[in-house]
Amino acid sequence: MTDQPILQVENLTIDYVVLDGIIKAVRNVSFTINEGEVVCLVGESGSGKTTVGLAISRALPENAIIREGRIIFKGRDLLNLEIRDKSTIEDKVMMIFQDPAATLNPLFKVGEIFSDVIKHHLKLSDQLKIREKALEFLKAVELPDPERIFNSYPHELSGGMLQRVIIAITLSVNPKLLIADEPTTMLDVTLQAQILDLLINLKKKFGLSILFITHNLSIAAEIGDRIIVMYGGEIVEEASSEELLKNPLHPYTKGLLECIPKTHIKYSKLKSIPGMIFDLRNPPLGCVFVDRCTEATDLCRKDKPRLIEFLKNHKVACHLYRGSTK
Amino acid sequence: MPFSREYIVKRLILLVFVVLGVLFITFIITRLIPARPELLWAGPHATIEQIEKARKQLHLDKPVYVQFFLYLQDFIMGNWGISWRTKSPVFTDVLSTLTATLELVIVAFFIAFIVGVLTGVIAALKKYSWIDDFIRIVTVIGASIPVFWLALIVQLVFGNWLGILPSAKRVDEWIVIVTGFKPITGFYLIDSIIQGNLAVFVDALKRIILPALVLSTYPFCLSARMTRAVMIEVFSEQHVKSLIAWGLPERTILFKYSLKNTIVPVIASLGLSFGYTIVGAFMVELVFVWPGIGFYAAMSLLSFDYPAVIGCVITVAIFYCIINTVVDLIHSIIDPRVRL
Ligand SMILES: Nc1ncnc2c1ncn2[C@@H]1O[C@H](COP(=O)(O)OP(=O)(O)OP(=O)(O)O)[C@@H](O)[C@H]1O
Ligand SMILES: [Mg+2]
Repeated sequence: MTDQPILQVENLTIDYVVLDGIIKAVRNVSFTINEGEVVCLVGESGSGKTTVGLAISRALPENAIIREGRIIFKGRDLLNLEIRDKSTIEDKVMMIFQDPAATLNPLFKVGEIFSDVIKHHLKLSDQLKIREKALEFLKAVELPDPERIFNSYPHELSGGMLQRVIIAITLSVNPKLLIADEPTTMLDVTLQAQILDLLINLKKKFGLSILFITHNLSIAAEIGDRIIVMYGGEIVEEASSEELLKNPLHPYTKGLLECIPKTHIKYSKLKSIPGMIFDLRNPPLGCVFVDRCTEATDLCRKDKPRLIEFLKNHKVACHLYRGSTK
Repeated sequence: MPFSREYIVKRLILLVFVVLGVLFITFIITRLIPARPELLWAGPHATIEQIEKARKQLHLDKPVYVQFFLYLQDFIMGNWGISWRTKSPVFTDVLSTLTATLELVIVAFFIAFIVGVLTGVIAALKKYSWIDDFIRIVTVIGASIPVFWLALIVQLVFGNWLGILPSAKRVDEWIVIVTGFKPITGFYLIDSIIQGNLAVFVDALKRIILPALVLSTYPFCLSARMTRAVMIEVFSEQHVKSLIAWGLPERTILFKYSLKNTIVPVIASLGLSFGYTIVGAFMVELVFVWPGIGFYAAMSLLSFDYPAVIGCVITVAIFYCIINTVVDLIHSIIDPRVRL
């Protein structure tokens, strides 16, 4: 891991235009990912994690508008690229999603799709070479019997196998940054662990940086070098994994940590943070968490706390931590 | 094969039941119409005795249910009765007119499918543009125009006023006689090619264009609208987005991948529109003097020719079942998740 940033996101602000208004899904989000780093984006449903990922991989839906911000990947501003440059960037950002079954066209064999991708990416035309390459990648994601998988239709494979196939195809286009959007949510626990292990192995093998999106703080702690906590479209806290677990600052992060079920205490009641997220069409003037925060004051209601580096390498956006040193 | 023998057997059994049901219903309906077919059978100057004899011959003196079972018995033996109008066996009549209709319907569906899908793809690619609006207006109008009216107008404009294309019959009798053309399969376009008879082929092709175009209007509009809707839906699916992300060229994504996802529902809707199209064929054949089963059925209806009418309806019902089975088979061939 080096401290050379591969990705810098600055002031990213994204709206969704819907029939009855404008959803301010992401507001003023800034962070960096260093080369070889695994950064986890954590937050509950609707906090804008996927939207950030889609923006970076430039796959936002048509009704999304990037209001502001820059996304600098390997020194180039992705938002100001000509469309035709898209396919010519050598070092790509790739994203994998939650539902592997929806990611592959059900009418085509895995091998057919994979071959097309390799053919166009590596400019190969020899069918045998293409196949060889595909099998190589299928082996790299630790799939047993790659030959069989190559000749299977997506519906003939299990969710875990499919997710591996998708990782293999995605790796074959040689990405430098991999955005994994809850890639294990639809899988059972043992498979989850296997896929997470695989991602970490592949990271080393292929020199990847990873932005891992999850709502599960314990998964984030397990695989992330750094964790970014989002709430209601804004970043509320950011620190290295150990630091965040040991010393959470923001009341929301504290709440999230308390929600992690402690497996050694049997029959403990599952905790949750009371209250609901605000309407994203009308974000609050002050702190995003104010409605659910037990320590909220008048100031929190009126004034939005800025994300400051309260401790070394530990940023938080909360009025409780004002005596900022920097 | 993506379908099993059991499936085919099941379909055949279903076919038997459909035919029986249709047979029963048509039979009852034809007997409910207050008409006296024995007059037709006996001829214009028949005496009272002759008419009475005709009634007996046609079993019209017996109760309706007896008539039905007598008919059913004959039907199963392959004897569909003698047409009261043409005096030849209904079965042969139907067979000889069927190919004319099939040729027309196949050409019409072919046009409807190819042009409809292309139009739909263009509309989907240019959605919300003026092209899309234009296609929408045309297809809405096209789907709501009555076929017989369209047939008359097209015949009038292209056949009579502009005189571009002939607008009646399948082929010119003179050309047939001069070139010694002999139908083999009954599909003139195919027969003429087999015999290397270019003159007949060109003439038959010219003559089929107008009626086929009229007949294809409704299925064309249907498949265009269906294609647009399904394709837009497919474009929003994750598997298309991932192909884009993996860097495949647009035309591969469109023509190799997305089109395949689109085609299954389009074919299904075309299959369902078959019934409507057959009704259209009746009208079109009447207007364009096309010697098909529609023309035959219309003539039979007008002269209360019960056996002929029932024969036609049964044939159409059988084809309806066959088409639906074929649609299922196509579906199972295209979609590996479907096993019949
Ligand atoms: N295409 C869209 N059109 C309109 N609103 C959208 C769209 N996609 C997402 N949103 C809204 O934007 C907000 C953020 O959504 P996003 O998917 O980024 O959240 P998330 O953190 O990924 O949540 P989850 O954990 O449920 O995946 C949500 O309120 C969502 O309803
Ligand atoms: Mg999400």
